[in-house]
Amino acid sequence: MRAEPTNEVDEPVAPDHPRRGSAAGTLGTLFWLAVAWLVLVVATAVFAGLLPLPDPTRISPGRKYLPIGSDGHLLGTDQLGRDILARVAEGARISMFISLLTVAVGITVGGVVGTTVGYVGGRIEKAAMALVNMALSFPSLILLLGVIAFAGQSLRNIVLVFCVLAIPGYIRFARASTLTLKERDWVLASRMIGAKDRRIVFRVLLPDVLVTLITFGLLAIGAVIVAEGVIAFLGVGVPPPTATWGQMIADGQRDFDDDVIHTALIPATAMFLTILSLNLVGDGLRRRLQVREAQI
Amino acid sequence: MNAPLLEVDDLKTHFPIRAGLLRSVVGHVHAVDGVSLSVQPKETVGIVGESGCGKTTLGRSILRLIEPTSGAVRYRGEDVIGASRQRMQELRAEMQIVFQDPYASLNPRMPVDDIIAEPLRVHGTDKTAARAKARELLDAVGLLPEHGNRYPHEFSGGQRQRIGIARALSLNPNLMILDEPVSALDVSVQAQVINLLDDLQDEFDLTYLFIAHDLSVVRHISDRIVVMYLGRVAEVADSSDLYTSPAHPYSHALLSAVPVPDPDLERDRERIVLQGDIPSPSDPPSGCRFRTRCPLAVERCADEVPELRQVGPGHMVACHFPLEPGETLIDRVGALAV
Repeated sequence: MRAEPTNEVDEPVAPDHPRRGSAAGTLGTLFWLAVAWLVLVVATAVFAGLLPLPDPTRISPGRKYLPIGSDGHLLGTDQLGRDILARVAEGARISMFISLLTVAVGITVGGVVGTTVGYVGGRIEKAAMALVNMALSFPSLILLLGVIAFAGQSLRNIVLVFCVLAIPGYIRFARASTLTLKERDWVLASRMIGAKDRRIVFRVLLPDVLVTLITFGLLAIGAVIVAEGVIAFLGVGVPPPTATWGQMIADGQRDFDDDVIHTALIPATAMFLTILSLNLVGDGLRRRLQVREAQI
Repeated sequence: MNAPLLEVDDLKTHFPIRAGLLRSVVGHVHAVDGVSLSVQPKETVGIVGESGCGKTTLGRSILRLIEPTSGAVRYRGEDVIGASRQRMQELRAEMQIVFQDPYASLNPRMPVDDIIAEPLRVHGTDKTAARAKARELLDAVGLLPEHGNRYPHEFSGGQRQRIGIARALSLNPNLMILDEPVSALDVSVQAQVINLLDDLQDEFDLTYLFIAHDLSVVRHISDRIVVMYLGRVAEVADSSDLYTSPAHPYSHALLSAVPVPDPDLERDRERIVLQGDIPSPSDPPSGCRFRTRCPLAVERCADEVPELRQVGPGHMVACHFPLEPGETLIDRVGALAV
């Protein structure tokens, strides 16, 4: 982490001496705190099984609602006496799995499809965009409820629906960037040297489009995490006993009447910090990238 | 005359203007409107005209980077407009373009080596050979071979344009369309790049179609000059003829706008300042395109389109009342007033 004070405004870059990857002002302490939190969450998600934590699904009726700092339960226990720290760790795993997979599928499929139709243009583009607009205007919750009603409530089906819902947005986004890129002289130059369309899409356009999609995707991860919380509240989320942040908050808010708030507050805090961190990191990267773009 | 390398016959490129809710076509921009010209092997033909006269569109239409609306383009007698995708890719190895803006024409995410080697890679050369050739070309355009590892943004405008030229050269083309290759550069750098182009022409036996809006730049390098106005050819002449005896009033006005680097001469220079702006190419004037700004225009100019006709050896002009050799526009306007 950098020790020097952060700059409020990015320092202008001397155009005569552009260095690749040079810092345009510092990214700030907050940025690095956010990175640290995300690293912690991801590490927890990956290594949850290896950590010396109790089984997140083990019920002990005699040890309900233990407060934070209890012996053997650092963050207390919930309404069924399950260890909250273990459940938050497992929740991190589920949240990260759903959101990263959704965004990765969205970027890959949306990026390739959007760039291709944007470059090809004409009727194919018109037809594809009509489909995308239809998909975007379809009520997403109804799709989710429909799939769950017919195919069953499972983690796999939820991820599947999320991916299907995410792709059209990325197609739009990728097509929009492609439309501005494909008129650039360097793309014309690639056509001039006889490059085939496939090469232009994958080697010339896609690398540029992906950079934009990834910055957008970082922010979208947060949105997916929230979406998981929303469907948990509606009772159509990942089925119990799997612990998810959304499910934990949904269960915990019923304890407010009994003056117990930590069962909902802890997963809510984890969710809040994660989304805030994602936004801070996404924003920092975007600013850094724009400076790089301006140097180009 | 030898067989021409490139022939353009009545080429037209119109862009539809769409408006309204249904995006219906309400008119066309006549960017290139019936241009014919021919280019001999190893010749340099300059194309001049104001901004918006269709020079760039003409260059891109010849290469089919923009699909022309009608007309014919022949390269060594072979039809380019009707060529298949496959054949077009082969033809593009022989016809290359250097773009105007050296900041926009190089992919910012590719190192220079890859930018220059890309054409070779696309046409099947293996990686090591392509890279070696790229280094060779860097040397040919006056850059250091070790610059190949760097990215475009690390270079100045002039250096970037040299990279663009190296890329165009990599496939050993015969014809190079130079689309205002120096207009984005500092004057001191312009001369260097022009001299480089001159040297490369001898070294690689190149034919140039040199597009520019600056007559002094074109004069230095061109054998013949085509003057364009609003999508049409106004005059075609050998470089020296055009400078000594322009026949079209527009060419004359253009020439009179070129500054003379001698203060005494410059003070006495007759300047013809054209009135008004270039008319909109979506609604061009009837008859002669230039008549709205021409000091000589009479009724006939509005009724009748002037055809391109011969006024001297290799000298063609599209004007009902061309200027005689030695006659100036001032003489003529004075004569009319009397």
